[in-house]
Amino acid sequence: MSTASLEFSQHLRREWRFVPRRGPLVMMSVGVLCVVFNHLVLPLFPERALAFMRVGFRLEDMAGVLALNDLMGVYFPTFFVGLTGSLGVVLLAREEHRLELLLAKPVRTADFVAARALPVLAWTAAVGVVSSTAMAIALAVQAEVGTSVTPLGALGGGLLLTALAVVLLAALQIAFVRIRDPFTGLLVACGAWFGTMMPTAVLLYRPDAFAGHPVVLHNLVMPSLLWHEATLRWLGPLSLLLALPLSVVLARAAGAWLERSDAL
Amino acid sequence: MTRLLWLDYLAGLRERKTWIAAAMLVYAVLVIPLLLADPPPHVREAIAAWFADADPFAVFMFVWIDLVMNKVATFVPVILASGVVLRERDTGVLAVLAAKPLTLSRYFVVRTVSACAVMLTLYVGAQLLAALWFPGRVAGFRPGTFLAAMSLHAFAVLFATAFAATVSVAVGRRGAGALVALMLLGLMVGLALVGFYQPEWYEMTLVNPLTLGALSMRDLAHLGASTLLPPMLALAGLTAVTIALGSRVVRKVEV
Repeated sequence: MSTASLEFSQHLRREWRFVPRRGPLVMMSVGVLCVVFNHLVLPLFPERALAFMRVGFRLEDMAGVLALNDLMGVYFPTFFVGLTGSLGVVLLAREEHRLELLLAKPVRTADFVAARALPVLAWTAAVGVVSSTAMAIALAVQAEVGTSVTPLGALGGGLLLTALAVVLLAALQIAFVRIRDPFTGLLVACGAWFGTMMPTAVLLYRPDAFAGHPVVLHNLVMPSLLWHEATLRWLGPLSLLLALPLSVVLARAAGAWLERSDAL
Repeated sequence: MTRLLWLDYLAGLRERKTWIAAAMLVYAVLVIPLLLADPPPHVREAIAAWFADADPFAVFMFVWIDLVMNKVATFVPVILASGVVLRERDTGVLAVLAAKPLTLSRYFVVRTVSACAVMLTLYVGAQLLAALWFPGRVAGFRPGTFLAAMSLHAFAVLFATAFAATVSVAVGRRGAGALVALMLLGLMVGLALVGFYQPEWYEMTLVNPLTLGALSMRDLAHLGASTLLPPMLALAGLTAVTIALGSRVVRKVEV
């Protein structure tokens, strides 16, 4: 092991000790509560409202409707708890005039950003995994709601969304190292999150926009995670595994950019 | 205080995040007619049943309020108001302000009202642009009804801004405060129209301020003072109470 990587791992361990834990733990509960809420309340909706979601998102049965709402319950808390932590990596430190002090440590800037970002992203992934597991358990318990989505397929869908959230947050660090106002960063991140949700809204209101574009349809809209649930059983965990090293690369790239910039 | 409020409002308008939010609103106004050019039959039928109105304008208003402006009400107020007072504390400015003849409570009120004013400016600008852009592009668009309905919704957005500021100072940390405000507003927005989907729950959902902001959907064809004024007054009262609560809570912030 090289000296540089040893220093990085030591620094990572140090940052890990100080990363806020309360937020992610609360958001795990929020994710689980979202799932419980969906499974208790959605079945009480009139058939017309359920049919609206079923037909609009091309779902086969109530299991699909519940799983789709659960996926939102995974993606929203996971992304936003990670975003809150991610703002603290560089943006808040810069605004509070602590960044120069932090960078005075004997650690390379790329390592510094990666070491501060990785614990946040790891906790983000943990929130997604817990919420996804709650979704799978809820579907297993309510087996009578339908067979179009299996608990393992739903778990895979949740893990893929978790992977997406982790990679998106790591990529946003690259933008954050050049932004001075944390709330501008928050706004940019909200825009990015909306960007990932827009195709699903288009599917509901303009399904004809996807005519002749099956690749776009089957890769960009959230319900496609349920249409291909058999594939997601292995693709979901695999994408989360791949997301973590990719996030390291992105966080280090953000750090390298910070090192080259004069945006302190 | 009025002078400080005016200067803070101007400073808020000049901030980059305000301009980015404005650009997002303009984008939404320009894109929505494309999204609603040809809604599928199941969407038209469901919305016609929920609001007892088969007019294409009702479909448009549902999408405009639910898909666009309620999402704006979740995110933009948090971005504009979550840093109130806490940003000054974290950057060391609050200690300087403490030496001025202005209590922390009054300062919170000034900053929150200023954030509300910036939000209202963005909101009104977006609705006026929409009222000019939508005729001829949205089937059955009625500018008068649209502006009347959105004037009610504006009160809900103002409440959301005051709510975000108060929640943030109550939590005491900017990141966590923004997250909690985002989650709570997200919950309110998610449940805002549930009473229309499930009529048995309608009265219960009226405790939700975001539901009050969307009450114009109940009778778009006959919007008048009797439909709009009661929820407007309720939302104005809730906003005032929320700001007053925040001005008390902010006293615990350590300078």
